[in-house]
Amino acid sequence: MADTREITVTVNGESRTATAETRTSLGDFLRQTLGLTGTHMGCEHGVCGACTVLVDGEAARSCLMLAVQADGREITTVEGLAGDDGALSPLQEAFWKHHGLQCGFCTPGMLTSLTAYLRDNPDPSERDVREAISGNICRCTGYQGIVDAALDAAKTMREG
Amino acid sequence: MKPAPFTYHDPTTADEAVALLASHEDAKILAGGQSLMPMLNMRFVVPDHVIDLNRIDGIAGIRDAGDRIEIGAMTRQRDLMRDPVIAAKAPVIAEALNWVGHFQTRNRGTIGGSLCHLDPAAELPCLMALYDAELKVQGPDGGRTIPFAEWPLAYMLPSIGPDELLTGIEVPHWGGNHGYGFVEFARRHGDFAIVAVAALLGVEGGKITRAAIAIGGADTRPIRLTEAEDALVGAAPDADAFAAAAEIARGIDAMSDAYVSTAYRQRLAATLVARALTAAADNLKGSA
Amino acid sequence: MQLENSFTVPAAPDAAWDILLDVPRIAPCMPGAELTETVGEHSYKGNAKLRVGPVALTFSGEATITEIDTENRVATVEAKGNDTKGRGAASARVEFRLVADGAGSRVDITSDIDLTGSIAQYGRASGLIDAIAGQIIADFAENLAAEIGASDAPEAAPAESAPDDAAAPAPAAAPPSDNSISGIRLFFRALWSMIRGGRA
Repeated sequence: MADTREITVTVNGESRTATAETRTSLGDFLRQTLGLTGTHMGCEHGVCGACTVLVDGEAARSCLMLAVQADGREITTVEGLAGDDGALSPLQEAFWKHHGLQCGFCTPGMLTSLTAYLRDNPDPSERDVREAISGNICRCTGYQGIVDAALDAAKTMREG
Repeated sequence: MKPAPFTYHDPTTADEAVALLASHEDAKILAGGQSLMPMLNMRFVVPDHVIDLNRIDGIAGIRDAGDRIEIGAMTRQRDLMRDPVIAAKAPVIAEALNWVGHFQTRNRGTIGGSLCHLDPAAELPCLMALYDAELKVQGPDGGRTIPFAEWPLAYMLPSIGPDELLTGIEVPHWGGNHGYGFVEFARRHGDFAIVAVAALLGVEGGKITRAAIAIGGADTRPIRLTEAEDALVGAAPDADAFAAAAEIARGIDAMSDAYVSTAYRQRLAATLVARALTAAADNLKGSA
Repeated sequence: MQLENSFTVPAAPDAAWDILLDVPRIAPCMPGAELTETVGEHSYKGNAKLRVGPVALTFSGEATITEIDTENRVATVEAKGNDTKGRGAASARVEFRLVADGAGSRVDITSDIDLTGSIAQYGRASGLIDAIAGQIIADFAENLAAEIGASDAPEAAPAESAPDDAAAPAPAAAPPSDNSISGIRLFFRALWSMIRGGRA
């Protein structure tokens, strides 16, 4: 007799209604119930950052939220960062250009975290960017490509 | 890595939350979730009931009440960092929050959650000790106030009753000319502190009139270095005075674990006390 | 892991020895303990609840008094239990030695404890299990003293709870039969107030 609730969540601009067990994390709900597997579950205890999504515009760990807590809220996942026409966001373009990813496991969390960060900090230094991504672990790249991409994207967005 | 099943409750008032606590023995409160969710996910805690406070109005927010700052327990750490009242009247709190987790966790994490979880290495309890904050608690029989010195009961166990809810925190305002310092040592940025020190120094006419030094991470509860505080009053805020305070810090009771010895924590405490006091002396000019 | 603790009993050794062997009488004095069944002459089943920081554990199992040396007043108890939520198990071999101490008695306890499962990690936190065991035994001794004092005379549990301390609404000698987790918190609160001596 599982404890469940019906919830309605706006994900990447689209309203989605589904039943969730109350113990299900937001990350698992997005992946398993809504089929949005872009968000990755790495450590499931809040340290790796791969599961980061935007909740009402603010970056948050989807492994540390219950799906039922997202009822009535707006979620943006990595699938929602590109334009409707499929055009990559300036940050995504920059990641591609600067080899900011290899295996891609950390990438959704990096992208959502940096999207929120650069929106609030449009002119960061390299040190600022490194601190901003300190909550996202990457096993492949050594971070340099990610930092370069973030700085380039910030510049692109500043120059309009 | 998934929680065991529980019954979920999302009350919309503090009274409702208290009633739920009173009627369910094996319940855990969910605030920001940044500490509870990892424990649930790993099944360190297996409560029958989870009481989510996120739908309750009225227990978040920051208010300037003149001689004190009133902070709702569900105030997000991010909001404390951005708040103008905190920046003007208790900037050391905003400074220390740079060391608390990462910006993603600060978007959800709350001050109340951190104080109730009471991790020995957490920064917010250390700051509440620094200010002698007062904690407002609501139970089935009404509200009461717990001074922070009486808040930690045992390892990660505050003296709040099982049917009580922390609703707010009052931070007394340090008026007059004073400076603040916060320094922390951790393996990586965002990790829990191995040792952290927060300091406030009030200075008048070139002499220290008031001092507060709080050490976190060394023991199961934050340590107020009252002996050093008393010794600093009347002294000039210089390196000699701070070195003397550091020596007193070296003698604190400190925990030992598989990673860090008592001696190392004591040594860190001494070094960081000197640095925190120096930082406080340096920013004396610009404080409200 | 090895633990050593000790507590005093406000009764002469002969009387104290008999009381301590009367398990159904003293079980309610143990904070968080509940005796559910007596299965043999010295064998009992029950539950024990305790908190390790934020984690509430309930162990369900049995305890048997395996050796009783009446002449030297030494008893050995072997106990084992499983966490009811499946996080592991604990087993202990505990030796109780009772000696005269002034007008009363002192019990010296040597415990050998094994933890398995995810709770085993608590054994690594130096002093944590020690502190918890110490608190439980101190509470037990206080309750036992109150229980003995209730049946004969001298002032039993020191009721010097903290001065106008809003954090200690329950008197130090709270009813020992309250063995829920909430009962433990009240005992801890009273104990902590006593340890602090009422200073802020």
